[in-house]
Amino acid sequence: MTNRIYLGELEELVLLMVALLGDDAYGVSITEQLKAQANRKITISATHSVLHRLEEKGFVKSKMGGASTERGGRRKRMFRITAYGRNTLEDLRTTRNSIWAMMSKPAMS
Amino acid sequence: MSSDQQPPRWIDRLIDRLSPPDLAEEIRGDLYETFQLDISRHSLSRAKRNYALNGIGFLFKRFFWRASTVTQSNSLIMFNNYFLMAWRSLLKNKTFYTINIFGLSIGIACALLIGSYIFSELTYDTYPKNASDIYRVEVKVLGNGNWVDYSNVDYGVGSGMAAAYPEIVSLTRINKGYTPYLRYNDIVSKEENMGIVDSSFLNFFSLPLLSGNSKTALSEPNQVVISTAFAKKYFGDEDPMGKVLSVGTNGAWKVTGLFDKMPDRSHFNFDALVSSYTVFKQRRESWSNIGDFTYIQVAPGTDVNALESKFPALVKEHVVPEVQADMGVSLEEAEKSVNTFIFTLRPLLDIHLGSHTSNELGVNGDIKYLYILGALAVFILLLACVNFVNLSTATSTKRAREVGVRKVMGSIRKQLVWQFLTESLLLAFSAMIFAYGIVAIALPLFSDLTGKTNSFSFFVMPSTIVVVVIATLFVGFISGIYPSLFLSSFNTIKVLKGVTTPGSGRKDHLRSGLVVFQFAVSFALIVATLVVYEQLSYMQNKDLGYSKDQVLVIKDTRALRANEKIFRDELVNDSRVINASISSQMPGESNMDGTQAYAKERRGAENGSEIHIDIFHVDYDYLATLGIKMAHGRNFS
Repeated sequence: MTNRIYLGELEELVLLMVALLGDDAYGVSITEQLKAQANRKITISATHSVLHRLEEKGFVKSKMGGASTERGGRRKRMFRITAYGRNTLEDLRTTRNSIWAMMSKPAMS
Repeated sequence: MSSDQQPPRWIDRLIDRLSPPDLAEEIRGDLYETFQLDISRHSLSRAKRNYALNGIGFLFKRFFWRASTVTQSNSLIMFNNYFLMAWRSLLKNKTFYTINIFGLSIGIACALLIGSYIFSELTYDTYPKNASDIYRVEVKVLGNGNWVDYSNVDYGVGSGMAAAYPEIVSLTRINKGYTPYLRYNDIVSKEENMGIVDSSFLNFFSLPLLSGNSKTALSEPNQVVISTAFAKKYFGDEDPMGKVLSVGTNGAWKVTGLFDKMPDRSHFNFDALVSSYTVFKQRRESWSNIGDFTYIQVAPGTDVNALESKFPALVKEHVVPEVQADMGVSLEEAEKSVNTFIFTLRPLLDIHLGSHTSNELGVNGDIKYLYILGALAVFILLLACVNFVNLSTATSTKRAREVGVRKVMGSIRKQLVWQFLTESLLLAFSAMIFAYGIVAIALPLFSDLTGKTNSFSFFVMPSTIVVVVIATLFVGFISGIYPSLFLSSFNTIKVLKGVTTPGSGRKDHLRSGLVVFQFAVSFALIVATLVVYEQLSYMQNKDLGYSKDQVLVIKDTRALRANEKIFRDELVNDSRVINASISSQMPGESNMDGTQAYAKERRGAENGSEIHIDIFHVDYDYLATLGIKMAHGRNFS
């Protein structure tokens, strides 16, 4: 098995939001959180596009959730991060942390 | 919630239609939620705009389409396969397909070029704002038992009609044949193509000026309105406005207006316009001659036939007294003019194709030729299609095996038909694209041939493209339907065994019928071309009764005045000159000088018995110089 993870920058952010939102991750809430937490404004269609890619790669899984009146009675697709997705995020963080640790001292002095 | 708080409906419909059903719900749900958020944060209009932008945004995402193909039936995949097969078979039989596409594209290109010509002929004189309300006053005269149509009427007719009938809302008159010498500094030129017009001319025909005021540019004497080419000839790059052109020996015209050029599709074409006051200082408002091309604009909804039926009263009022005075006949005799002098109205839009008098402002076309050309275009296209069908079926031997294999692999007949149809539609469309290429290359030559300026813009007009695409679909369809049904009908086993020679049996009748048709049409076209060629060479070589070879014409020698005769004698003295003659005009030139002649005993007795005689003023050497033989009598001496 190749250990290469391919996760784009926006994909990583979206995946983080899915993890952050827990049981309430779907298109609109993810877009809103991206704006609130990371100051990234993207269109709803772009969010959907990224979520589709993440699901194909196995980082998230989805199922249709409940309807609500503010959606005009339409159901939403709820996303949850998979174990593989969470591991990937942690791997990425570990890698980055170790790199930062290596250069922090000389860089800060 | 009130209905105006709803998002744009068309976006919903677009998404419902295009997206797969399982995606539509979540997409529309998210869009709707965002819409509500936008309303609370911004404004309704902004929310609506965002809704539309976000909705359209989905159409540009790959998942939106990819998800939909997965859920679709096999038809799209099959279509891709048909396309691929068509492409492969095209690559495999390059020569054959090149010939086939080339033939069809030549057919389409011919039809397109002829179509553009017909279109330009049909859209003559459509440029004035009120083109459909404009009529030309013409007159029909009975003389010596023949009705003769004149496209121009006397100077008083237009103004008299406009004064008598309130239906006529405006009037303009054009006169031609004035050929002055104009000079600016060192540049002198004879102007052959001047229009002498009423001051209303520019506005009447909605002709725009590049500079100058179209209302006043021709309202006073000695004003001239010129084309840019005309301005370039005299003034080069200087601004022509306000410049003065000398006319003859003592006149001077001031340039008060500049137009680019007359519209291409107009029944008249002038390089420059002067007001009629400039040329004719005083004009009698007479009725019984011919002279000015007179145009009237009627109020919208006017019954033109009713208007025409009032004209005899005007003839009685104005023409009869003039006839009586000019010809010295009794009132009773002169009143016969009411029946022999008839004013008619011809719609402006009918002039180019419908008017064929001997005196027109330009070269007119003929609707008959358009029918012939239209039929020609259809036949050429048909011929190309038939050729296409025949070539496609002729190669069926090769394709028969392919069909056999496909059938064994489980192709049903419908799929085979679609495969061959896709192929022929693909070919037809590539032929169409090639045809446009041919048109682009042939257009300058074609313009030379027709003497018209055909711009490429006709071919890229939306309506033309729609027609061409529909025609191409049609051509592709009829060219493809027969081979596709034919090829797909082969018996699988026989084909694979090689027993059947495709093209034998019952189907052959159609093919030989098509070949016969193709040959018949080709022969008819070739014979027609030969006949036209013979006719043209007959026209060029027919003995006209005078010799035109080795004869030179020097125009306007009357400017030499008294020395004209000396000039002629000097010419004859030159050893290279055989003979020389002075005359008022050349044979075949339109003659403005004529008179009415009567048999001696019938003078004045019978209106309508006169014969019109053209008068040529010539000297003694005229007949000898032109080699005209006397039928009776002797030459002048």
